Amino acid sequence: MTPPPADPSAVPVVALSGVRKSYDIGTPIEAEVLHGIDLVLGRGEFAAMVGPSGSGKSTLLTLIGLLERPTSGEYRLQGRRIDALDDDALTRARLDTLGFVFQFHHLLPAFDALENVAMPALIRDGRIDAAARARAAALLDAVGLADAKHRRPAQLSGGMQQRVAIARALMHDPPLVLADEPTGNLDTASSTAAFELMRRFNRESGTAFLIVTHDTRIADRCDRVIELIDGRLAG
Amino acid sequence: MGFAWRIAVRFLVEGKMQTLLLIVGVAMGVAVVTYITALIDGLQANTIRRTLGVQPHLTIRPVKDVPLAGRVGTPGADVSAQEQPRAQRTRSIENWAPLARSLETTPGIVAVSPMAGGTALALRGEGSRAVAIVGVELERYDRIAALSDKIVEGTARLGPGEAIVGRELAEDLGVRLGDRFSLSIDRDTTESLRAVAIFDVGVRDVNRRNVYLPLRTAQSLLGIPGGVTQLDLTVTEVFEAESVAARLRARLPYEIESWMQTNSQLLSALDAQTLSTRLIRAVVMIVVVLGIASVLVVSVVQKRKEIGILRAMGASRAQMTRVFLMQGALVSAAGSVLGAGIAWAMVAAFSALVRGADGRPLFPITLDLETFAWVAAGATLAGVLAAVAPARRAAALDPAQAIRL
Repeated sequence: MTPPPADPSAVPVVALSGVRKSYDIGTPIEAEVLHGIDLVLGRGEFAAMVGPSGSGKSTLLTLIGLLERPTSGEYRLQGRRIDALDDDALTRARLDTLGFVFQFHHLLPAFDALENVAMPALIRDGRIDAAARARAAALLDAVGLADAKHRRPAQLSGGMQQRVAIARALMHDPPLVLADEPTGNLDTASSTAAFELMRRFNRESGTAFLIVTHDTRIADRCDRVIELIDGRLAG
Repeated sequence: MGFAWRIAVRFLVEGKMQTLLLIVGVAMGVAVVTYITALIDGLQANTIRRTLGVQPHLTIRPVKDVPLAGRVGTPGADVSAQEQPRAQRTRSIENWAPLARSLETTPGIVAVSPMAGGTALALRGEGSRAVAIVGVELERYDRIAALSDKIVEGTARLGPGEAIVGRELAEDLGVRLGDRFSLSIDRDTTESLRAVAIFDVGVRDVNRRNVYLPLRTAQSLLGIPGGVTQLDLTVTEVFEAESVAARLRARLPYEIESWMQTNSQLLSALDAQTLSTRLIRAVVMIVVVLGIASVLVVSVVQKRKEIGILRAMGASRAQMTRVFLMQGALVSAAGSVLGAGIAWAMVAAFSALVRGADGRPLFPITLDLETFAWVAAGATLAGVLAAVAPARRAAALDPAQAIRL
């Protein structure tokens, strides 16, 4: 393992070099989806990832999100070599370093909004203590859902659910939030609201965002646009 | 554990119908197992109590008379000898009093009662019945068979010239309390006795056959003054009777018989019953385990997305495993409590509805806490075991795939 650098702020959040990903699909020919990706994402960056369907966006996001391992190449998350870790270590790294926002919100239907936001605390500590509860409530206030704390996901609109999901991703104040088509399922007004929230958290708390999107209006408003074509970075 | 507990409870509350089915399934299994256990335990305890109510745990008798081998013939010649078994006369146990005292202090033996027994004719007016004379000291005999507790009329005492007769014999001879009747061994030996009490041990044959009289009276009737034909023993542990008998056989030159030998058929019947009960319980348990496992497997499939989200957020495989093991444990524990209630109702219904010809309950069945504790612990363990396969499936789910759904 690499020794921790002297100045953590100088280390990029994500550093990929020569990352390839192929799937064994049961044929002699392996299907390679990513052909050697070199990508650095700095602290507090606000980046969009675009590209046509099948270009490998989702695969790259799940790799960066530690849900899958690269077939070859090197991945450093906050300076720490991570591509060879076992499942438990990856799980722990997800819990400590990453927040996720999905296209279909993916809230737990059996829990109310506040509990959904506080879920990372329940996973880490086995309970939701007063501090976690206060933090979750503050996040819900910040996303404009102060009155919806005790409503179940089914009682919330799509836009509201996505705001709960954004609040949940920020529960542990992670250095990086990964968003997979976060506005893909929302109307224009809700989609703008969700985007503005992420932008605001990025500015206020310095959280880096990597947003996969098809929506050019969203991509245009990000600080950086990463384009993926046929499993390679464009440009 | 807090995580597993919170998520498991919510998952169960969320899937109301499935949870209800699981709990009711476990409850039925627990109820059947508890009820059958209580029923068979009650039945067996009752059978043994009835058997031992009129039988001593151990009896000691003199060795049988055997013919002395009389061989006549020239040495070297083949001799064909045929032995005729001897008819047994009424014999007393030699030195029974010191023997009884030494037995009383032997570990594993709690009571010793001397008895002079034989057969006689009970006569009253025109009626006569063949009976068994049981000459005892009532106080000592009570520690063997608790005769005093089985008196239905009169007072339990055996003074000189007094006798205690069974309900059926009293009816046959037309004897009421205070009436006199005679016991006759042969033409010259007859004794007149007064019936001071009537007993009912619950076995008609015994009620009809046994006549209890003072030891001394029996001794003189049987022509063995001061002697006893049998020592009755009570042991501490009913089912240790045979091993106590074996130890005594090794050091005493007497015929020693345990109730377990006398009732070997009954005991093998009870063993067979116990075995079938165990089989039924095992089958019920297996059915319950399969039921829990299949419902939980379906639940894992239904909850793929939630499991994927939790895993993506950083819940470990071990945590997801525990969520499902916890669900198995929770439904089994809840089912056990409900099952205990159902079993209690079944026992109450049995006691109220199933009655013998005389209108009394056939035998008492009780639901003791220990039986229930064992069944509940077994069911909960079974629930956890049933959840192992579903839990492993949940832990093995690929979160990347699950969240794309």
